[in-house]
Amino acid sequence: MILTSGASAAALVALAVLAVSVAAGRPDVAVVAAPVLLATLWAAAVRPDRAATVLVRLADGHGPGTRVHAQAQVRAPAGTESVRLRVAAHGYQECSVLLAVDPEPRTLALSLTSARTGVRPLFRIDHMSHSRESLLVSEPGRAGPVRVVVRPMARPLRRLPMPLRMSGLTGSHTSRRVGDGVELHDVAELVPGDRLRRIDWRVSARRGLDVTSGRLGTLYVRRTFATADATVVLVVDSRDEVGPDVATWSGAGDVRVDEPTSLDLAREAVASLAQAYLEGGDRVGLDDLGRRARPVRPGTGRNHWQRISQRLMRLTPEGWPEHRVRTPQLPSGALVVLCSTFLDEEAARTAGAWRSQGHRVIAVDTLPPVRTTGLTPYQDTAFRMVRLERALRLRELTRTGVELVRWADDPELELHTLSRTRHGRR
Amino acid sequence: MTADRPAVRRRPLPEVDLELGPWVPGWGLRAVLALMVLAAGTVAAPSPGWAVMTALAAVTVAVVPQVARSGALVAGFAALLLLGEPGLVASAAATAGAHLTLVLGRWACAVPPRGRVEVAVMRRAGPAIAVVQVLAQGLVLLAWVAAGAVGRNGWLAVVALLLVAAAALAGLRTMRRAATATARGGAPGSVRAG
Repeated sequence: MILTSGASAAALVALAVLAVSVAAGRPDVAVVAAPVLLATLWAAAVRPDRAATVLVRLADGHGPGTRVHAQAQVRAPAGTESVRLRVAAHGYQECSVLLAVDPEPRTLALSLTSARTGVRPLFRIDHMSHSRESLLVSEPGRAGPVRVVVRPMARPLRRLPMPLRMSGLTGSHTSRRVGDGVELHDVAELVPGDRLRRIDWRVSARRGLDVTSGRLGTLYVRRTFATADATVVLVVDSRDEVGPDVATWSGAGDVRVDEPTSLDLAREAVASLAQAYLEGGDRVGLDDLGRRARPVRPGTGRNHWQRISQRLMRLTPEGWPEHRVRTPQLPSGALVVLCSTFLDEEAARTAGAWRSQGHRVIAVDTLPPVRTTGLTPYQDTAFRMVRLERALRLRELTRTGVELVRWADDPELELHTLSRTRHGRR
Repeated sequence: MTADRPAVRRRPLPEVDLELGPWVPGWGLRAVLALMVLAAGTVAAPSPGWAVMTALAAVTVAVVPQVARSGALVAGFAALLLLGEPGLVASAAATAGAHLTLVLGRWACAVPPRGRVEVAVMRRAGPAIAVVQVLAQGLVLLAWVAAGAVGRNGWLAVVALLLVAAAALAGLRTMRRAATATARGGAPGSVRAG
């Protein structure tokens, strides 16, 4: 603990006042110094021997959503009058508090609202203990920040587009193959291997009965479409992350924490689509255009959702990604959903290549609605050119058969529309 | 050739929320501090002309509360008394003003104007402040008695002695409780008077 300059200065001034008033023979003036000296002596008698400790931890039950909760536990030794806290997080106004401390450890609830998702360092607390009369203060200490995984809220999506071809021998979708299923394909003659319970006796009686001999000749069976599952590969372009404020695109300013960036929209899109497809029993994989890491292979089930979610939360732009000469390999017949801002050629080129390989490709535009206030004339001109190039790029992409969904508008409606175009033609 | 960025009014950043007990804002404390300086200074001032200096001091401590924290006001109140004629009310006001502005000054210094001070901090410090203040006011009366200016009001000496004795007893009791709490590992800041 450190003796404060303010308290020592006040005590010295009080001593000086006492000396001058005694010299002047004015006891009524001398008593002005009395409370200061008494309070200082009292504070010295009950001073604490060490500083308070502060611990920050994430509150229990932290789920998906934009509200993040944490707890700070303040444990102050005897003699501490108050603890000064400065609670901060990058992009937020810091909050300074002079906190009363209890004999028992005190727990303080902290919370903030973040439109940003992913792994974020939040809740940094600088603290300093004060003894009585602030005679002694501790050296500044720091608790946190806590690495918080802010998960996006998944949008409910009811109807989803399907791949051009189904895969697998079972699932919740009807394929174009003949096999076990519900939807009627046709009625055909019984051949070895057909199940007897599939014989359609009415048709057999009508068409297979030999009226001359009265015997049943050919038997007919009802054939159905087989069921299958869809393979969906969600691809995120994490090479760039831009916010709504175009003035921050150059990296000159901070993106506001109460506005989602393109990568936040991409995380929300992937989380919504992955949950919806997995609930439908389909196989979902995840790949990242910005990193050469091994993709999350298509799979199903709750554990697989956790795997996708973990990878999704850790997506972040890292350095300058290398140019991919070869497009990432995908399972045959998979539906590809590519989430990107399409601010450069790379994502569009990759989407076009996948489409030419026969995949159904849906390009999800994750650029948030932009704001151009505060731009210099040069920046404004540059932005207009970038916007024009991007519009031309998206138009060219749709010409190649890639379907486009703008996530910032009404993705549920657009996906519903795409779900009705079975072969990717609108 | 550079192009200037047009001035844009930006929205304030979002805040981190804390669940606190009742609190007062830092600017409220500064306002109370300024009012206290103004009130005590006006009462203790030797002539109405000094009220301007008091008002200046009040504005100064509202903007820079470190002035109050450093004990400059203690010297100021003593100077007001030294420059004027001895008076019981002026002496009592100056003594109270010197102490309370120092206390408020250190709380106001601890947080910025937009910061918060929990009321519990003041409530828990209240008994100790009251004990010291009562003791100081008893000493004011004793000093008045010692200066021989009591005249026919000899009962003031008795009152002064009683005040000093009561405050000293209360102070000793509070300190003993604090020492007991310290020995048990508790916080003496939590000891309540009475």
